[in-house]
Amino acid sequence: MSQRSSDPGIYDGLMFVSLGAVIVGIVFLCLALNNYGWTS
Amino acid sequence: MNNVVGKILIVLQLVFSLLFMCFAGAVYTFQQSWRTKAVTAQQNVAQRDATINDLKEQHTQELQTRSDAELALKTRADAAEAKLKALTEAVATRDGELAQVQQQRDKFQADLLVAQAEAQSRVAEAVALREEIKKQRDVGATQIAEIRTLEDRNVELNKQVALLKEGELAYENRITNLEKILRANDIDSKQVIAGLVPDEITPVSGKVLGTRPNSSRSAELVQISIGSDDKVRENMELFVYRENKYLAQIRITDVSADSAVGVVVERSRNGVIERGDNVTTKL
Repeated sequence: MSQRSSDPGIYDGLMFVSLGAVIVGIVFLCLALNNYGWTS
Repeated sequence: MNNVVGKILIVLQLVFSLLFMCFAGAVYTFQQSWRTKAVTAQQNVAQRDATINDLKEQHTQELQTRSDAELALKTRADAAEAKLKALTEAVATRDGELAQVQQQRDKFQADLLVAQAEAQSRVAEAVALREEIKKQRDVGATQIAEIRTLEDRNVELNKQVALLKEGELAYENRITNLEKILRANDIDSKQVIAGLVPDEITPVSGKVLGTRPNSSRSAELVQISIGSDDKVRENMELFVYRENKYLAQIRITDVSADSAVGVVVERSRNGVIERGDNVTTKL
C-alpha cells in the first residue's frame, strides 16, 4: 500500500492556528500567574 | 467519515483554542487591570494612612493644645471664680456698709431737720430778745437821761443850798458885825429904824454872749453883754427870753464893767439858751 502524500490543507493551517492560540493562551496564563509569584 | 470527524475536531479544537486564548487574554487583562487598581488602591490606602497618621498627630497635638488650653482656662476659671467669690464677699460687705451709711445718713438728716427747726425757733427767740433788748435799751437810755437830768438838778439844788448856806453864813456874819458896830455905837439892834431903801431895779436889756457848762458840768453858765456899768450886781436875777418866749432865769455870779456871768436857775428853765438871746433885769 502506498502512502499518498497529501498537501497541507486548510485544516492543517487551522491546526497551527489553534496551536498558536493555545500557546498564546498559555503565555497569558503564565503571565497572569507570574503576577501572583508563580515560578515554573 | 474519519476525515469529516477529523475536520470537525480540528474546527472544534480551533474554536476551543481561540476560546482558551481569549479566556487567557481576558484573565490576563482583567488581572492587570485589577492589579493596577489594587496598586492604586494600596497607594491610596497608604496615602490615606499617612493622612490619617498626620491627622492623628494633628489631633493629638490639638488635643494636647486643647488640654493645655483647657488647663489654662481651668486655672483662669478657678482664679476668676476665686476672684468672683472675693468680689462677691466684698460687694456683700460694701452693701452692708452702704446700708449702715444710709441709716446714718437718714439719722443725720432727721437730726438735721430737728436742728434746723430748733435753730429757726432759736432765731425767732433771738429776734424777739433783740427787740426786747432794744426796747429795754431805749427805756434804759430814757431812764438814764432822766437820771442824769435829776442828778444835774440835784447837784444844782445842792449847789444852791450850799450857796444859800454860804450866803446865810455871810449874812449872819455881817449881821453879827453890824450888831457889834451897833453895840459899839450904843445902838439897839432890836430897835426898828428907817434905813436905806434899795435902789429900784432899772430895766436894762442885753444879749447872751455865750453859754457853757461849769467845770463840774452840773450847771450852765451864761455870759451876758451888760455889767456893773449897767447896775448889774452879784446874786441879781435876770430873765432870758427869745422874742416872746421866756427861756430861763439866771443868777449873776461874776460881774465886770461891761459883762457878767450868771448861772441858770434850773427850776425856772423853759428852754435852751443860745447865743444872741435877750436878757433883761425886768420883764
